[in-house]
Amino acid sequence: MSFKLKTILLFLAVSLIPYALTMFLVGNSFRQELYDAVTQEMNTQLHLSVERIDQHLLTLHNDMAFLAKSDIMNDVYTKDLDRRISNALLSKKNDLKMVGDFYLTDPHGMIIASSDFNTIGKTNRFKSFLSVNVYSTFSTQPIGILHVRYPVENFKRFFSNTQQRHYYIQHADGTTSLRPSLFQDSLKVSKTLKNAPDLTVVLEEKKEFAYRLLYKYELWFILFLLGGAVFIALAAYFIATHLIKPIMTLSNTAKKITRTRDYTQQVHIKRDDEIGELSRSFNTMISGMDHALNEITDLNQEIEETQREVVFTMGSIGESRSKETGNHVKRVAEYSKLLALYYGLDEEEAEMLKQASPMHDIGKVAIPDAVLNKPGRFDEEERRIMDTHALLGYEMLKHSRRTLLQAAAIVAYEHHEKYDGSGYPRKLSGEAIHIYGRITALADVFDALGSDRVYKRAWDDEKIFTLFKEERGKHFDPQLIDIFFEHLEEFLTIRETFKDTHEAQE
Amino acid sequence: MKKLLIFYFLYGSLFGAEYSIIISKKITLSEITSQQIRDLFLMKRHAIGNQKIIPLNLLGQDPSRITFENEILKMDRDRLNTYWVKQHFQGLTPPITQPSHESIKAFVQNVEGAIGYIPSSMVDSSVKVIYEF
Repeated sequence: MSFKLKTILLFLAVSLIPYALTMFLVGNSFRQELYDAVTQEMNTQLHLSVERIDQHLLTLHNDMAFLAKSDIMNDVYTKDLDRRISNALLSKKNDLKMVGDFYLTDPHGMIIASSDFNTIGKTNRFKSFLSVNVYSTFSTQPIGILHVRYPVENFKRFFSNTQQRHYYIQHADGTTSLRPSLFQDSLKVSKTLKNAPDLTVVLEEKKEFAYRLLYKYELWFILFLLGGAVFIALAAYFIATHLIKPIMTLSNTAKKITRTRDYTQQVHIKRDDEIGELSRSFNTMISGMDHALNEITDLNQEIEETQREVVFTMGSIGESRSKETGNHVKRVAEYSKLLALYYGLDEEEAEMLKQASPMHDIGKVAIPDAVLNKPGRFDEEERRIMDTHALLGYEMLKHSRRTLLQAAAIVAYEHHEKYDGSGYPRKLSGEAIHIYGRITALADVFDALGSDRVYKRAWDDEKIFTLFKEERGKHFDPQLIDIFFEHLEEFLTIRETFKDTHEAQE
Repeated sequence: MKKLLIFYFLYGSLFGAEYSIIISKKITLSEITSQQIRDLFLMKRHAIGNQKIIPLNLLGQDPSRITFENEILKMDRDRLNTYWVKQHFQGLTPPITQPSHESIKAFVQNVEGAIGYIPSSMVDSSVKVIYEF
């Protein structure tokens, strides 16, 4: 997991969790507030309704008490012979516009008078809603009991029911009456009637209606929540990106430096904080590395310089022994490099050959001066001694492990081999002769023929070219001869550049 | 006094007494004077001896009530009204009423000490006559 992703996640966690929590609490409190408001309103309604019912029940009770005290109650003694009580009860029932009936029973439960005339003379079977004792004007004992059968239907007119909200009655045993319908989910408030304690009035409202505002805004609320979350995520992304930017710059610069090996590059972060400190340290480190690297490069160059000079000097020694001019070595070096490049060797190898080729005659230091500087032709013995210089040079150089000296050894060993196998010391032929040897052979012969020697005068160019054409595939590698003639101008230019200046004096 | 009583009995039997004052048979009281009846119905007394008496009037303008008021109370309706208006301020109310002779008879049967007037023809063994007029 990347640092950036971690940072983003951290930001999200740090900001999103409190955000979600807050929104959740806000939503919940909105719901709670709504619940409080709705239930409070319902409670108010319920209280009003219950108050009215209680008032009505009180009136009923008072009416019954008044009836119970009226003079006509003396008709209990005549068993309501003239129906005066019954008529009074009936008219009271009509006054109250009630469902149900009043009954006057004697203490044994026999109905003496009733607003329902059919029941007179029978035993009371009904459970009374309210009952009041009846006393006569001249008796201390109750002479009867006034009952009322008051079905809950009477409460119906106090209930203003709608589709969303209705009242119903709950009895003490848990059963309900007057319930118009059952709601799936509802809010309920209830209140017990003061004047009928075993009856509880319940006001019920459909939840979806009570919370209609909540449901209406629910979608918007969720969208708002999601929008907030997306905003926080975006903010987290941008902040993390911004935070990570200098580090990414640092990392990219480090990568670039590694790729280009240009240790002079610097990170450009101008900050006063820890990141700035880090980039300054980084820059210091890089410039330190650059400095150290430069030292190493310089040292390396010094070594290479020295090596080159040593090799060149060694080559010069060989030449000076045979009284050949120092420029011969230089020209052979340049010819060799040119041939090597056109032959297809790379720049590095060509350069190495250029540096190694001057040593091709190093073996001559071991040849006696008498032989070496003898004017005129060698006899058999002298020739044999002279020819050992190739092997001698090889022997001198072969012990080094340096590639330059290794190349020099090959050059010294093989620069007198001929392409057709008639050379010395090993009579190698064709491709068996190392390319260094083949190149140096051509370069050496070309320069030697064009220069004055103790034993001969310089050949003119036409003669040299004729010889070269003849020796193509015999002495020399035909490919190299082709290269030579193809780029002849360049070889002649080199000869002109490194012309022997003291030649005239000799 | 005795003569007078006999006169009344005779009068009653001779001319066939129209109405009888009745009382519950459980009551030991056997006779009563018209003065006592008058006092009871005008709420001037509430008992005879130890016996509490509850007078009953008939509701309305029945001939029996008019006769009773004329014969026993000796007051016409105007005077009676004036009387009760006066008594009202002293906290006395007229006797309780029953709407019919039958209910008076039933009430007397059921309430000890209640007295009321019914036509003599309605008298039977369920009640006791203590006065006739």
